[in-house]
Amino acid sequence: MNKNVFLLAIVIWVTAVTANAQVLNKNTTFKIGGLGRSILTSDKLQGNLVDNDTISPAKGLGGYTLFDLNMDLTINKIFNANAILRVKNPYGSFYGQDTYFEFRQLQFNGQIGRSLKYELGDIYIGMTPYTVFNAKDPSASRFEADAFKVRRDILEYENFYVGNKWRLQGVQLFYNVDSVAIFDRISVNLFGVRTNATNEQAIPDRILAGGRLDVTQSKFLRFGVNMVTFTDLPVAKTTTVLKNTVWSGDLGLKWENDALLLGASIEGGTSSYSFSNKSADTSNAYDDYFYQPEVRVNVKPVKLNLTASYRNVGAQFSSPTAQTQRVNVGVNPSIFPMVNQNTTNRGQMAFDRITDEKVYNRNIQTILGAFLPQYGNITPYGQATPNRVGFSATLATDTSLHNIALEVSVDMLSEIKGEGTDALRKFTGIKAGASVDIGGLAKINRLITLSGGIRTENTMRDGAATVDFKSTLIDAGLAVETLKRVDLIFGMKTLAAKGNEYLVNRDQFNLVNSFTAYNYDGSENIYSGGLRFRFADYAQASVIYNTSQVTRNNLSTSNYTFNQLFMSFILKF
Amino acid sequence: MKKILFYSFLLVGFAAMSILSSCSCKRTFNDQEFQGPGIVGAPAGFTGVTDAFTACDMNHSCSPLNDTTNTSKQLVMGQPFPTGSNVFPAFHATLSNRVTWFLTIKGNQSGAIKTFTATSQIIDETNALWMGRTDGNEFMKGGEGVTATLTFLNSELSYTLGLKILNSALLAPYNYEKNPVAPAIKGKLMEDYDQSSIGTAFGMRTTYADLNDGNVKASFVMKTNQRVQGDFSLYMHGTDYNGNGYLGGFSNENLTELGMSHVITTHDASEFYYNAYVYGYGRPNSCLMFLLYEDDDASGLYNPLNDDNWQYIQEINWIGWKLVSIKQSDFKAASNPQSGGNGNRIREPYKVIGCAMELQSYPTPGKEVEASVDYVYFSEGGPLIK
Repeated sequence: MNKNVFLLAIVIWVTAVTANAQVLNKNTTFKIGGLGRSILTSDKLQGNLVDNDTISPAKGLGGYTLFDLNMDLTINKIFNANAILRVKNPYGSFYGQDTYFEFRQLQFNGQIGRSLKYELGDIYIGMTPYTVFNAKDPSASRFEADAFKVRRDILEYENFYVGNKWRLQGVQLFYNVDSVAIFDRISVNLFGVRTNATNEQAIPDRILAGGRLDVTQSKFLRFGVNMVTFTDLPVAKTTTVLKNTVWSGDLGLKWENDALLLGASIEGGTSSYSFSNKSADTSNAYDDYFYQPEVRVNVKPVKLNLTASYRNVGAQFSSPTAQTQRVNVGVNPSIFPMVNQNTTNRGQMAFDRITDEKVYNRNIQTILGAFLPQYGNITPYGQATPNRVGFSATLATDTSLHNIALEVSVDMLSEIKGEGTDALRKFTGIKAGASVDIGGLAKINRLITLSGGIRTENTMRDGAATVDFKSTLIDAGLAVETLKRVDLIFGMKTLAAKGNEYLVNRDQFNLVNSFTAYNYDGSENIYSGGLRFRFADYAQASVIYNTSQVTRNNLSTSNYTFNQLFMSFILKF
Repeated sequence: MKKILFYSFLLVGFAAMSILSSCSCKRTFNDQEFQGPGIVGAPAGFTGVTDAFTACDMNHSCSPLNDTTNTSKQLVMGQPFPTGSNVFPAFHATLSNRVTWFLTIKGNQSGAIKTFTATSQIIDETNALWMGRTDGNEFMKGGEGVTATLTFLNSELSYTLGLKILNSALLAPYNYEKNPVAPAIKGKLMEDYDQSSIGTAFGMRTTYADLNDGNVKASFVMKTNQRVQGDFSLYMHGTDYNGNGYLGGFSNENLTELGMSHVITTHDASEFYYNAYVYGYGRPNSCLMFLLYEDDDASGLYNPLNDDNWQYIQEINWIGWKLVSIKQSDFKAASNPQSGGNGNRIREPYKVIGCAMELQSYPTPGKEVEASVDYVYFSEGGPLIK
């Protein structure tokens, strides 16, 4: 048996024995919660992409009913067990023949002594944007319509996205202590997970381990040290071995009075990467670094936050746990995946990125994934996107303003090292959005929310291999409570992009090894409208009609319209 | 005192940050001019090819290869290694400027594509030698014409050239290009479903359906519109009506291909791979069981009462073609004595005499399942990598 698995088994056994010795005392509780969801979609694909196609499916009906039963047993503060059992039954199966059962989550946690907490099994890990961070899809907007939010909530739940954390399997410890010497609080978070299991033959166990020391000196000063490392544990015939370590330190200063809050922070760190492939008799290793200073001003009387930052992230800065994208563009969509007489992948459209849980990553990727420039070209790998230097600024309302949210942000970035040429790409991005709770402003007890957002990106490169790529993404949404707890919801998302780019292909060492010329001239328009019934705080149903038009101006035989009637019932308790 | 401690700590914090920063000030490839290979768009005044865009026979002093209309000099691609007189075309052109160019070779019938790209002024065997491999799963077809198209970055100019593949499509696995005489990986095609109809004694042509599934048994037919190589694949479709999980399969317990040439010589089961292209239709519970038969009693025939039957279950949870490669060390011995598992229970690839694949409804029995298989290939030294 693998050494690590054996150790993990011992820890679980010891924990279980300890818990067993103290069962059923007055602190023992057993809680049941859960989520039920039923979805039915009627889908239709039309347009010149499928006009003469007699084989590929272009109409369909699908859906499922599922129930997640969350069982939470607390023996005492030392031991808590949490398990989520899933029952899922796709529509169309005969007398439940396709019904399946699975454990969606299994976790032990508890507290040992006054200050040490532990978690075993399915755990959520997250640190800073450059170390461990599950960055959001760059085409997702904070000001997206409720009609799309219903769908995003489902795919985030299905992919275990909670905030910006990754859900992995292993062990995690938290140690907190207050009032130590001159420090208000010292916190330590350590974790170890296995992201890839050995086959005991050639594939090594891949272990991800790391931690954060977080020290709050006072309300004025906070600092931290972060480390995360990937290590392969070779077995007998292992031919490839990866090692990737990221260290970072962060420091935050804050001062405030009744009118003003001033803050300054910096995070800086280094990455060290090595990979060897014995079968090909090749190896490579490299180091790089990043730093990002930031200043923040909150003008309290006007409830506005201004943040300005500078970043320098090296071209070879490698931090897989912060650079793994949520969307895997290589995955074909679940609905109507094949076209052209069932021989060609349809490829993803913007609507798939909002609705298809299968195109999202749950695992950490050690090689930077591919991306499509029209959905986000400036920071496709989140804040830790390598090869970026420049300024960013954001002006936004603060959380004390309840009925209105406004945000404007600007990115003025460029590459540090050219790709295929010494000329550097220059990126300009502007985002703006607003959300207004009209019901709240008018002081009527009805939900009336209007939201909208725009994002424009411009990528330019001069020289022998010019790049000129522009995209504009517009979001609009309206939710109106017409009858009590019955909302009319509308959403619109349009994406227009045009220009030329070069997609980067990477080798086994995560280094650029070739380029694919990419010319895009097209648009995608999504219109959604329907009804949402909020029966109770814990239950809602919705009927939404969606139409998504995909137009390629330079590839007219690829145009299509995807229509979908979506019905859902969701219960949470 | 507390203030002194506070400011001392502040200084220590900044010192730590400085140390961290100074340690990290290292960029391994900082001296490189740029990342990746160079790319150069066509400049103003670019006139494209200044001589002629041609292809020549690389193995025969680069004598010219004619186009599809002339059969006297045709491209012969992919004789099974290590023998065969192959003709590998090298494309030639001289350009007016150093520029990034793209050469796309497309099979006129198969649709298979091979691309070359580089940044240079000269196109020749150093950067455009085609040894028959393609970029995706699709193989070129024997006898089909191919069209080679040369284009340039930031230019509307393009040049085309027609060639014809005289014989079969590429059959050689990975490393063949580098060392065609003694490839690191060797192997043999067991079946491509193109030689004749189902029912012959060659390859894996013997198909059978579960007789207990009633009158509507699973079907096993040749299919042309789901092929990865050649003209046909084997299409399997049916419903496991009796709920035993088994729908039928196809096999050859005594493969002529193995007996004739003794292609498997290794004694190491982790070096021997059973490869096949499998097409998934996205139908849940579709599954293929791969089976290998050994001749443990050296009778020259597979006998389930004396010999080993090794099995591997592969769930088909993808849509489209996928190359499946399974090494024998991952196979499990058959547990039913009636269907093998009576040999010495040692994985011995050099004793493999036959093979099979069975369509199953797994993990849930009783379902309608579907798959296609093409290009079954045994390899030694590594998996088939096209």
